[in-house]
Amino acid sequence: MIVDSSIILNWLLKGGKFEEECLKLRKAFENGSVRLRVPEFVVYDVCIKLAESDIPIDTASKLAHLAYEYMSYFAVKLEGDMLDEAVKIYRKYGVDFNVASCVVLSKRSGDIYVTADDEVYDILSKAGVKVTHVKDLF
Amino acid sequence: MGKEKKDVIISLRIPEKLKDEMSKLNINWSEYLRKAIEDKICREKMKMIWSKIEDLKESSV
Repeated sequence: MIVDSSIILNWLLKGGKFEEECLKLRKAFENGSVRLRVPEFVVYDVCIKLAESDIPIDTASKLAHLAYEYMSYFAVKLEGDMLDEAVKIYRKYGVDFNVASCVVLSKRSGDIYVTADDEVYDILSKAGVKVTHVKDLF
Repeated sequence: MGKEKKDVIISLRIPEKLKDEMSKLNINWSEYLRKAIEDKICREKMKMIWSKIEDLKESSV
């Protein structure tokens, strides 16, 4: 499975709409029953979203550091031709670049792309792009 | 010049019957075990990092 920053942020921040489902997915990953990967842009997007969040600065900076270390074990660097496609998806659907990179990695690897973002799910599924909502996994 | 990678040999004790079963299969056991150990190390390191994340989440409430 390919997951975007909406899933990771639900791991890190309390009170997310799909926190329970996202944490179940993380547990399944930790147990080895599912394999997760993120494009490297997700790592940076998570750090940006933590920086922009309203949690205290010391907590946000420590969380960014730990999240970076955690995701480094399953982050994937995209090749040039994949970035080429990600730019096109970004422009075509008006989604975040981290989302566009997940769509590309999912298409190239054949792994399903999972999001916890209702808006991203609506935009992509209406456009016929393969995407799964985390709420549909459990 | 980069630091030369140095391999070391480790040994483990297993039941004789298990060794017999391993011999019947055409598997590179060194490679298999090396990969299994690497995976385990990654998983344990991730657990340690996650534990720190959980502590931070709890303390920030």
